[in-house]
Amino acid sequence: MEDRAPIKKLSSISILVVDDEEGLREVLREELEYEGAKIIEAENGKAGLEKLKTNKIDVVISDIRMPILDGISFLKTLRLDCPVTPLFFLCTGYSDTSVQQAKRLGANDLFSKPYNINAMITRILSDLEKNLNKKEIPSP
Amino acid sequence: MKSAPIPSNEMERLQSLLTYQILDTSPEIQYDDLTLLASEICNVPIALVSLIDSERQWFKSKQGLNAPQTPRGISFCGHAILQNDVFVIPDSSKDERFVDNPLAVEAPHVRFYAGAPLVNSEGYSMGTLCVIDSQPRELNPSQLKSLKALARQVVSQMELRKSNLTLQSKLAELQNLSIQLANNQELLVHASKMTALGEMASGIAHEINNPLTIIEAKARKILRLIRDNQFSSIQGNESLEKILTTSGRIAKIIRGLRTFSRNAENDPFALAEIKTLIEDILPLCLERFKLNGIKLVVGPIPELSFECRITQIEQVLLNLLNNAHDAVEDLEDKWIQVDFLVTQDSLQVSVIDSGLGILSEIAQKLMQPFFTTKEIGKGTGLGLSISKGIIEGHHGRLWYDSSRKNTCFVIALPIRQSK
Repeated sequence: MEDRAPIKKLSSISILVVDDEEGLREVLREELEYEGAKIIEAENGKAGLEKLKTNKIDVVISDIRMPILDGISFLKTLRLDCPVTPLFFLCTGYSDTSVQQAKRLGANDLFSKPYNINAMITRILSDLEKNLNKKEIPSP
Repeated sequence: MKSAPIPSNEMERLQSLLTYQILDTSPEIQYDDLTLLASEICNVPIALVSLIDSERQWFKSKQGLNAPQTPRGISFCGHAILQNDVFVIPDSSKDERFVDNPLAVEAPHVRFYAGAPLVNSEGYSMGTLCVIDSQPRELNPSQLKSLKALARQVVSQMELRKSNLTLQSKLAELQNLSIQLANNQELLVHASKMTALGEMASGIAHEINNPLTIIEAKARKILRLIRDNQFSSIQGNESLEKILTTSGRIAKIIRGLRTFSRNAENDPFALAEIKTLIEDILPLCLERFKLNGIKLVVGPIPELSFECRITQIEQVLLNLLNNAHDAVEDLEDKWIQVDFLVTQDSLQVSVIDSGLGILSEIAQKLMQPFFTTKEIGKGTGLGLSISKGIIEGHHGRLWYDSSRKNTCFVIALPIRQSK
């Protein structure tokens, strides 16, 4: 069994999952934890901002349409404190927000529900790597 | 024998005659009564309404004669239509124009002839009302006067016929138009429904894609477990249960969409449970409400079946709910409440929202087509007027209840549609 264990691609990466639907947070947790990630959940943008204060977060995956504080407002506030933390929107693909709009507002990308888990993981890793490289440039 | 000359206005005269569409039609009592009176008054065996066609004289009505028509060239009436007054031949055997006329020499042996021209409102002489005898005779002044009066009655009958024809074609035109109008109305109702659906579309997509995401992830989980040799019936069961309940969510919204989106204008009335009806439409708008922080309270739904066109009533309720949504969307306090009231023979559904009523001058125009207070592109202004039409089509009533503190629309529907 041990020798067949998959490589944990997201090992030791902490991901904040923000979605108002519990079932959706649950499956994201299951799939991302399987890849070794540590998951922190929040049910809306406001709760997400709270979690960001009290946890070390590497990546954020957030819904757009949420009550209390929607994904766009959440992103705007988040960017004030965390300018580079990768944030990916996860939306139903029928939102008022386009990919361009989301990126202009500072999101890394926009995934559609139902998502492609492999593409999502690849994208998360590549953006984390980019951030790492950026940080290394100023101090040669 | 001398044939009658052709009138100078023959072309126009024939055209005018054709507009009555009377040639070769069946006998009619109105004309037969007039020829009967003519023969009685003039005391002769034969009386005819003779119309002069291009090559023949055709008899619309005839007393004492069997032939339906005779050639124009030998007709006495061909002469008569050239006259302004009654054309009288007291004895054809003494008149060189008719002495050898086949109609005089052979049956019906026309010795005496008197024909009053049938002059229509355009001044054309279309034929005659004529009286005929096989004996020579004269008409006294009173008989002449009566014959002329009866001729005027024949013309009146023909004018009446023409008016009827015009009316009939107008009526057919009108019927066509009203069919077109009904079709357009049907399209309009459908279009308005589609607009409502469009307004709800993003919420509906959310409502479908969220469960779909969960189903996919749970299926991947099972595959993962199998691949990793970790599959146990407990874990498999948990995931499969989740897939089933989540599929149910999608099935529910699809069902709501299916009934709502079809064009149901001509559906028969059928018994519907108010509970099922409400459960069908709520998934279509709940997500939108939740997202905008609008609290929806649905009062106890009575266990009641009522006769309706289900899809149409769904359309009305969704219209009221969507209107309420738009009304409270930007308010501080956002809620919508749906209440039910069952009386002996009717069902009332009230949609109340946290808005504080509607200004009376606006309330007066609410049900008018194309009246809207929504910004351009947001509403068609048809929702309420169409809803009102639908409810009235159910012998019910839709009204704005101004007696309440909050905005309230009420529909009242009979439980049974009278046959």
